[in-house]
Amino acid sequence: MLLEESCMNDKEVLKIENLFVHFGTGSKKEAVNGVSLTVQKGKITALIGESGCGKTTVALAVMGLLGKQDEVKWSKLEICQNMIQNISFRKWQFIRGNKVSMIFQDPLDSLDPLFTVGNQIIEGIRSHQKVSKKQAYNLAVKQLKNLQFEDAERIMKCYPFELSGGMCQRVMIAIAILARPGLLIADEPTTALDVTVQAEILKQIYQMSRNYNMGVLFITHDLGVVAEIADNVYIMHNGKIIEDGNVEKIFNHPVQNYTKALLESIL
Amino acid sequence: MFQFIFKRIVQLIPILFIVSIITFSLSSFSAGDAARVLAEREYIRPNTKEIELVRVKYGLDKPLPVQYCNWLKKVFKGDFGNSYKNNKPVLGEMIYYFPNTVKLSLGAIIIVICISIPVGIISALKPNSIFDYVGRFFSFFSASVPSFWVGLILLYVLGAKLKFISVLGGRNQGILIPAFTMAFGMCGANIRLMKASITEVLNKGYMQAAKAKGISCIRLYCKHGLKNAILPILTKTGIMFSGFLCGASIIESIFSISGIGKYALDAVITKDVPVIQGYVMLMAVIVVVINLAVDILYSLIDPRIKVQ
Amino acid sequence: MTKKILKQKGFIIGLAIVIFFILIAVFAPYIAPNNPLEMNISCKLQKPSSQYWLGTDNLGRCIASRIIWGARSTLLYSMTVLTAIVIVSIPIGLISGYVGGRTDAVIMRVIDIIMAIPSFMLVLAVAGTLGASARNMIIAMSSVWWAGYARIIRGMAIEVKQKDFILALKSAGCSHVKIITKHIFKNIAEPIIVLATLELGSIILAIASFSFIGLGAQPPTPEWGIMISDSKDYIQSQPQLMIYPGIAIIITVIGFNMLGEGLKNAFGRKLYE
Repeated sequence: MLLEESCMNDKEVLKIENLFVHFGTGSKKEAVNGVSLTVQKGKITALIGESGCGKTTVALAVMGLLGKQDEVKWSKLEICQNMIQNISFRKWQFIRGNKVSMIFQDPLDSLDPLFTVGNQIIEGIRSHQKVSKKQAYNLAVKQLKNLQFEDAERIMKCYPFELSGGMCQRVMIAIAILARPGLLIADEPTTALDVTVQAEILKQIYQMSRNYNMGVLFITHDLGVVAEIADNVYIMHNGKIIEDGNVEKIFNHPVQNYTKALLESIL
Repeated sequence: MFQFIFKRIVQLIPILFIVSIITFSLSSFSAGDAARVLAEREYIRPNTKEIELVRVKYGLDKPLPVQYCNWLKKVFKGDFGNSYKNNKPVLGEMIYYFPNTVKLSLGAIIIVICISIPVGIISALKPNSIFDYVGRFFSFFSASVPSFWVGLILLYVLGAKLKFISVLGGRNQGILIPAFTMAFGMCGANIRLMKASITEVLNKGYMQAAKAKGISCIRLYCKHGLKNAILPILTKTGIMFSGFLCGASIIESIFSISGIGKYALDAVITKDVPVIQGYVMLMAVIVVVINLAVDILYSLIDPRIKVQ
Repeated sequence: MTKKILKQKGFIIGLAIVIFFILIAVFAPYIAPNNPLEMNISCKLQKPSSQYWLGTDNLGRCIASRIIWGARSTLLYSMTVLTAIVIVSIPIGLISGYVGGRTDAVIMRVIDIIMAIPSFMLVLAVAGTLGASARNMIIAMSSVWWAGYARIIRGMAIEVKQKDFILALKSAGCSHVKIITKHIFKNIAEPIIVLATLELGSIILAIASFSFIGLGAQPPTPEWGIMISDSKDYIQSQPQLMIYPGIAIIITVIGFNMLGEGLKNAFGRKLYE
């Protein structure tokens, strides 16, 4: 039994046990109330729920991005074999971007408007790899080309406001996966984009996950998206996980009434 | 870039044109007949005929638009006429007094920046801390106290009681105390602005995303944070600087500094119209130049501006 | 709403100060112990007494009476300026924001030009040519100060204009005039009141400054700025001459600022600055 668990650990890039988050804004309700979940290497795990159910809060808690006034507790949080417990800002900055990356809902808002795209990609690379500016530039261009940017050199010189939402999101993906993290957290990465661009971004996330054997925690409220790319699914409601399993199980044999209702709503 | 600057300069022309019309019309609004004032300088007690002679001599008999054109031509050559009081060229006098005002205003700006930026940053990073409360109290208080009163109190405490400075003012007074008085009222507003601006930037998505990238603390706050937060401060500093230059009269008259503000104030009391015209025109040009400088700096920092 | 306002200590204190100030200004003739203009050289620079509550100034005038009458001048001047600003800026801002297009562009251009002129400079120019007086100061101040206000109101009008209910009113055949005067105005009235209250503090400060350097009200008017100016020559021996009117200014301005802040917090709406 013990042996089996350590074998499992090798495959798990994220393991959360009993995560509680309480916002320091005076509300009595727990934003996240005892969530446990795991993400496996090379697999896409979807976290589904309606807006306000606490799914983004889970992601921010994992990334250590919640505010100081918010109360965050867990019995275990492990990212790529790194136990997270009372770690310093420096250690966090080693883990963030290196072991775990995140892409956000609004790509236009995620890039600093005052710096070129190239500057921001290179900055990310040089925070985790000891490479010269030139090498970092080449790495960045290569990664952009990988993400179907034909004219990567031109994109590097652009400012975020000169790019479309879809392009910005691809840049964000490039920044997120450059250090080849074991885990990528994607927080509604397609919600703010046009429908035509959505499919493209999803395809790229899927490919990157398979190519680099990267675990993805895919947060969404869109069941259609889940059906396309997810391997495992967690359903979240009012700060709790109410049902989990692989895609076939959830879609074909849902147990909870809430899950059934969710499924019915898209049919 | 050059195209942007050129465009901005072209946009300034109508502003200066309007200011020049207002300035010119000051003389015609002015109570009393300008020809009489001028004639009184040439003749001891000018009679009607002599006044008319002067009127023709200075072109004051021509229709107003013609007078305006003549006046503008002279202004372009740097000739604002001579002061009624001592008959010296206005431009020369202004050039003599102006550096003192610039020194004073620059000193005040430096004091405002040195106080408001650190206090603003700390209150933004640690809201509801003691530091934040002190900053908030100070900014509220400084917005409610007239600066001339602060100046007088400082004169009383430091001059009359502690004898650090001379109550009568004068040449070797130093500008620290006057500059501090000038800065006092603006510090509060600037602390507030700095705090608001940094708080806003800290809550932006790109700050979160940059943190998620795993960049260092210094890079996160100094590169991304400060550069974004500095934009509104820059605009405000420009406005503040023109405000200081134009509002210097009060501080200069309290501390007896011979700057351009006091020069203009004295001209107001003696109704020295050419001096007032020269002062308004010079200040308008300076304000416009400061605004232009701020715009250019802004466009250097923010790439989005040039496109608009 | 009322409950929320009354919960705030700052608002209550501010309101109390403002009411006190207004009462003093209105009933100055009945409150003041002496005639504020009456000079009595034989009892100049006296200590406080039952006849002269705060003593007398360099010309033997009652300081307390001058401060009480000064509240009246301050209230009169500041309210006149504020009324002028509001009357000019509201229609201009509303029209600029609602009509948009060319009209808006022209109005905004004019506003930009006016805002480029520091108000101090204009007051100085007007005082220098038309002569220094309270009336000229009020004219000069109002003619510059409305611009910033109009710009804020325009911003609010644009914001409200884009709301769906305005579209609904339009499609229901409501006339433009009625939409502007009734529906848009109603929606921005709250922030305008808050802004006006907050603005009064700085208007009072500006009026005192102009009078202090001789560009505004003229002596012997009982006015706080003038009183401080008169006391300049006695700074070494009689500092109380400038301290009393200074405190009067500070308390009044703090009162209006606290009231404004309290209203702002209570309305809890983002002010468009």
